[in-house]
Amino acid sequence: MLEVENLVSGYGRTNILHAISLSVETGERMAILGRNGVGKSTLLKSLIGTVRPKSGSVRLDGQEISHLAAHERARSGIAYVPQGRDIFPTLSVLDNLRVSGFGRSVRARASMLDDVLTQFPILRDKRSAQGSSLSGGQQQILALARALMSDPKVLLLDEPSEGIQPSTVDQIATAIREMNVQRGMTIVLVEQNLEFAAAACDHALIIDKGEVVLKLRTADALTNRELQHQYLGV
Amino acid sequence: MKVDQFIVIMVSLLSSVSLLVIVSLGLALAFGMMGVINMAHGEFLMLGAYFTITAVNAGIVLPVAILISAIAMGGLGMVIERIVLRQLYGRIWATMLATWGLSLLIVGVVQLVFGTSSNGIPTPLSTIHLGGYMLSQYSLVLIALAGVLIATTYLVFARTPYGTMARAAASLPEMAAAVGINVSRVNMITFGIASALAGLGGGLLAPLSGVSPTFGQGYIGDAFMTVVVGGASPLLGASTASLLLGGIYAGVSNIVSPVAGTLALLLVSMLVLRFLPTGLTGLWRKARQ
Ligand SMILES: Nc1ncnc2c1ncn2[C@@H]1O[C@H](COP(=O)(O)OP(=O)(O)OP(=O)(O)O)[C@@H](O)[C@H]1O
Ligand SMILES: [Mg+2]
Repeated sequence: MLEVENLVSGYGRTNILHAISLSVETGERMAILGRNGVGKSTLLKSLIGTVRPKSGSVRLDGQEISHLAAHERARSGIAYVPQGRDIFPTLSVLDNLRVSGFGRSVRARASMLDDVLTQFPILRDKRSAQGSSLSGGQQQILALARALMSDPKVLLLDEPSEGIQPSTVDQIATAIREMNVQRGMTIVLVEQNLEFAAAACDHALIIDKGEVVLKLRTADALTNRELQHQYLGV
Repeated sequence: MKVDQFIVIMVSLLSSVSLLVIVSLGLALAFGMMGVINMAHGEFLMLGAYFTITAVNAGIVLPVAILISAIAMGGLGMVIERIVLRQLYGRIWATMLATWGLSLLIVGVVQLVFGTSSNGIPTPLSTIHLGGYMLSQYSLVLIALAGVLIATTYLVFARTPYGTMARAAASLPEMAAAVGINVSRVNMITFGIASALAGLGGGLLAPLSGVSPTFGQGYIGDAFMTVVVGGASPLLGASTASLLLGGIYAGVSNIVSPVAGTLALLLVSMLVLRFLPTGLTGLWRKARQ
């Protein structure tokens, strides 16, 4: 279970998240929605630790992790697919995958690499290509596969559907559900695309003004025009 | 041209190339992998040379003395990364200023400990007679070692987990941390390796000339020129630039005169940078796209 309590975070002196609290059960798939610039990415960065929270608590299965550096949080079971994907441009596809499995045993790494290449055949075809030479959709799949390589308990995804072709978007939604069902991963999905969020997750939290203002079913969010207008700027 | 003359010219050409590799590899690595322009690189070479002659004078055989120098410089480099560089990543001017200050400090300390006069050790190995020419065996050893250094560094960075982590940390440090890489430790090791290469270089050069506190200044110009002409990709840049510049220097020196060789070197460097501002590796990148 991932629990966030009174988390305050931001950049320099500006606070973006004001004492935000939320919790996601183990094995749950939770979408996080909110308008542009509301602080969704800041929330995920504060969870993985590339932005250091100013106060408040982040607990993973009861363990406090908010004082840990990003690489320690990653090794304690959190994986992150950032907005814009951040594929290592000069590394080959294989190295992009391997690099996230170095916390694990050689054997676990090798078998996970094989699983991942089987699940995403396009990555096997492109295994020797440089990360930067992949298309946007291929990079998104690589970012997802890279996150999988560390066999995380919790997977944080930041707008994986952004700027991706519809067919790849469907593939990514399916992959997210599969990771959750087959491997029991807890999913935290930040999205602007409500349809995609609903395809991947059953529940959603809505963030506004640095706080969680609502928890609801994604199916209900899809039909509620008023709510979309008020909180999602649609 | 007779065969012996041809061989002698080839060896002198490869010697120039290998010297450039030896003096510039550590500098290229710190710059390409970490974005650190190490103004104290010449002084790292100089320290490596001093460590080597001190060890040799203490009765240690030269190859072991050079290895000790490399290891000592590697350790010192890691300490310097922890104390000085770590706070300055991403601030290129601050890094240059700090390492420049460090270079003054090193020169001062070395003057205090060893004095300002020049020390030396004899060039090891003998010469080979080839027709009417003489070849130093040590220069053949340096040529071979330069190749070994490039190959080993390549294997470390291309094939080992550490190398993959270092390349990831070099391109996207935050993302590297998010996949579980301890970026700060990786940086410490990378600068340690770069410093060890400088120490090794200084040790290898020590038998070729007198070693004084200004030893580094004799090589630092060549080292920076090689790195600038090579561009940001440390291995490929350093090796192609060494080949080009070393080849031109040795070629023109042999055919015309050493002064003309130096002039040709400068001219080619300026031309390369005029047409390829990102260095030779910029050209290579363009060609691959
Ligand atoms: N590195 C940074 N330094 C300073 N301010 C930042 C930084 N990154 C983001 N911000 C600011 O923090 C606020 C929240 O940004 P954040 O990226 O978390 O929003 P978001 O909800 O993810 O937006 P989007 O939907 O556009 O991705 C914005 O006002 C943004 O300008
Ligand atoms: Mg965002």
